[in-house]
Amino acid sequence: AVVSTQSTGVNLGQGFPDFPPPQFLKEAWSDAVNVPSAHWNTRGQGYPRLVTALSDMYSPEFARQIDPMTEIMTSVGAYEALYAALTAFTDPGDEVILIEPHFDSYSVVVEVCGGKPVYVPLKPEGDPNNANNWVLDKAEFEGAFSSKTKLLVVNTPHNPIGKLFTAEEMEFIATTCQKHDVLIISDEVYERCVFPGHDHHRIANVPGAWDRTITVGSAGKSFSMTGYKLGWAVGPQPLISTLQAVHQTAVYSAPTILQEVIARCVEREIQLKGKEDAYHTQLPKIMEEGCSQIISACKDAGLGVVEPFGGYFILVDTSPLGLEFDTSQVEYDVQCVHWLTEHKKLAGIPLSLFFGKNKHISEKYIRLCFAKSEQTLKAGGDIIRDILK
Amino acid sequence: LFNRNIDPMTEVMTAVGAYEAIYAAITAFINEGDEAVVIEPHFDCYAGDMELSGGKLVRVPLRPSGDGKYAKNWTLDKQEFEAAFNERTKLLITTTPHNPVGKIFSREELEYIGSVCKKHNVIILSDEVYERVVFDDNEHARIGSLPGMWERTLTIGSAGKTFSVTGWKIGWALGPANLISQLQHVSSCSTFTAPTLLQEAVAGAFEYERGVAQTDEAYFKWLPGKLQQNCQMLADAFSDIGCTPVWPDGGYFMLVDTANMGWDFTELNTGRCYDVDCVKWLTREFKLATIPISVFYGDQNRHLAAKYIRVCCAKSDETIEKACQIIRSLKK
Repeated sequence: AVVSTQSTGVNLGQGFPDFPPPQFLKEAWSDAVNVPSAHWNTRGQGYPRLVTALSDMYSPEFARQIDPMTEIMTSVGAYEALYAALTAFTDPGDEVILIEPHFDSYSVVVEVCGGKPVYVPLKPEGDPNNANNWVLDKAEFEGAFSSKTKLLVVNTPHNPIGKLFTAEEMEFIATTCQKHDVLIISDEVYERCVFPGHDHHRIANVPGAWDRTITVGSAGKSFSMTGYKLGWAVGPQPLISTLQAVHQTAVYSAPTILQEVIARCVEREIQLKGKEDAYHTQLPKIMEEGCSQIISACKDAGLGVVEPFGGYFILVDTSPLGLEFDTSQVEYDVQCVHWLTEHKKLAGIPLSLFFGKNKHISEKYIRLCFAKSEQTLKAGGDIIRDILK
Repeated sequence: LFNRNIDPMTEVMTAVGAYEAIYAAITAFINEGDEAVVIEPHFDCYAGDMELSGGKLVRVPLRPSGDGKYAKNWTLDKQEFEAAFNERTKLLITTTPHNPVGKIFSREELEYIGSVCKKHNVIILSDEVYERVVFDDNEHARIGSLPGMWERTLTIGSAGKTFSVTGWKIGWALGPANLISQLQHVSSCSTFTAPTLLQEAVAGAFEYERGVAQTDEAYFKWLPGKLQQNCQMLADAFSDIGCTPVWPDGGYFMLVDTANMGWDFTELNTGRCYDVDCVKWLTREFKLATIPISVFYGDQNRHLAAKYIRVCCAKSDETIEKACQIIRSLKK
C-alpha cells in the first residue's frame, strides 16, 4: 500500500474504483441532505429506511422473509461488520479457519482477539488460468477442523483470485461446518460484481446453514463508492444481536445520512430489478469489460492470467518477464511489484501478502484491479503491452 | 488553541464519531486488569469500552457544593481523587464541558488533575466534544495545552456536536504521535477509515468557519448563544414551578433538582431510583422526555443523584417552547 500510494504512475493496486459515482447516487445525496432527520442520530443497529430496503432486496435472494429489525445490522463498511463478527465470536484460544489467499483484515482481527487463524489454501487443479479451478483439497479442509474451531470465513466472489464458489463447494463447506458446529462468516461484498452468465451462490442458502451464517455485504462495492464505508450483516437474530453488541460499543451507529442515501439507492435497484437501467444490471458488464481489457493487454504482452468470473481483481503470472530476484529474504512477487512500480510505473499487489501460511502457492502472481476508469485501464493496458520492451 | 503546531499527518486521527475515537483510545491502552479513573457521573460508553477490554473503571464523583444552583460548584474531593490511583491505573477519563452536569473544569482544576496524572504516569483521555458550546464568559480550558501535559493527553472532538449534525458520526483524536499511532492500530482493525465524503464536508465546514471567525457569520458564535438562550428558557420554566435548575457552564445539558416538588413514587413500588420513576412519569403523563441521571453513575455513588433529572437544550425553538409549556403545567 505504501509503494502504491507513492507512485505517480497507473495504480491497479488497491481495490477502489477511480471513476465518479453513478448519477443516481449524487441525486440521492442531494435529496438526503434536505431530510432533517438524516443529520441526527439513528437506531444503532440500522436506519429503518435502509434496513427495510435491504430486507426487501435480500428476502427473495435468501428465499426467506428477513426481519429488518432483528436480522440485519448496518455497519461502517463491510469492514466493520467483519470486525464485529470476528470480535463477537473469537475468544482467546479459539481457532478460525481462513481459506487462503484471503483479505488481510480477517487474520489481523482474529489475532487481536487472541484467536488462532488456521489456513486452508485454494490450489489450482488442472488449468491454473481459470479462477474456478483454484479449489480446496477436501481432506486438507476437513483436517483443519479441531475441537477448538469456532468460526470459518469464506469469501465469494473471491478476492484476490476471482473465483466463484460453486453450489457444491458451498454445500461441502457448510456440511463440514455443521458437523463441527462452527459458525460461518460469508464475505460477499462483490456479490454485485459477478460477470454476466455466472451465478453467485450464498452459503446461507444451503439447507440448514442459515442458522449458523453471517452474510456480509457492502454498499461501497455494490455502488462503486468505496469511500462511503457503509456495509451490513445479514443473519439469524441470535448471531446478529451478538454482532450488535460489539458494533454498539465500537461505533454505536453508522452515519445516518449515508444510510439515507444508500436506502434510496437500494430502493431504486429493487424497482428497476432486471431492467437495463438497474445499476446491478450494468455493474457486472462494467467489471467484465474492465477485466477483458486487462486480459487482452496481458495476452498481447505474453503474460499469463488467472481468468476471474467476478469481483474486482485478476491474477497475472509475471514469469514471462524473466526477472530474477534473490528470494532468500523477500518473496519474488513483492520484489516484482516494487520493480514494476519503479521501472514501469504500474502498481499491483503481490499475491503472497494474501497468504498466512502457504506463500509458496503465490509464486510469481501479482494482483491487478480492473474496477477502474476507462482512462486508467487504457493507461494500464498500454504499460502492460510495452512491458517486455 | 493548543499553542503548538499540530502535525496533521501524525498528531490527528479522524474517526467514526468521537464515539469511535474513545473506543480506539480505551482499546489501545487498556488490557485485562488495567484500571481507568473516571469522573462521575459520566457518559455511559466509557463503561462498555472498558468492559470489552477487560479493564476496570474506578469512579470518583463530582459532588454539589454551595447553594446547588451552579454546575461549576460540583467538585472533586482531592483525597478521594488521589486515592483512586494505583499501579494498575492506565488512563484518566475526563469530560469538559461535562455531560451530564454541565460543568466546565477550570484551568486550576485541570492543572491539579494533570499533576496527579503525571505523578502516576497515567494517560489522559479528555473528552471535549462540547468544546464549542461555552456559556457566559467561561473559558474552555484544554488540559492538553497545559505545561507538560501534551505528551500524555488525547483530546477528543466531534463534528456532530460542533456543527449540530450528530448523525454524521465524524470525530477525531488529537495528541502526540506515539499515542495517536496506537489509536490508529485499533481503528485500522475495526473501521479502517471514516467515510471520505463526510470528512470532505466537515473539512469544508471548518474552512468556512476559519474564514468568518469572530464575525457574526460564525457558527461558533451563533451556537453557544442559541443554546444558552434555550437553556435559560428551560431554567426559567423550572424555577417558576419551584425546581432548582443547576446552571451549566456550557454543553448540551442541564440538571434540574426536583426535590422541592415533593414528588414521591415510593407507592409505585418499582424498586427503581427516584429519578428513573420521575422520568417515566413525566414521559407517560406529560409527554415530556428527559433522562434520569442515576444511570450515569456506578452503583456506589448513585445516591448522589438524589432528585436530579437531565434536560437537553440543543433542540429546536418549537421543541423548547412546547417543553416550557409542559414544565409550567407541572405541580407539586
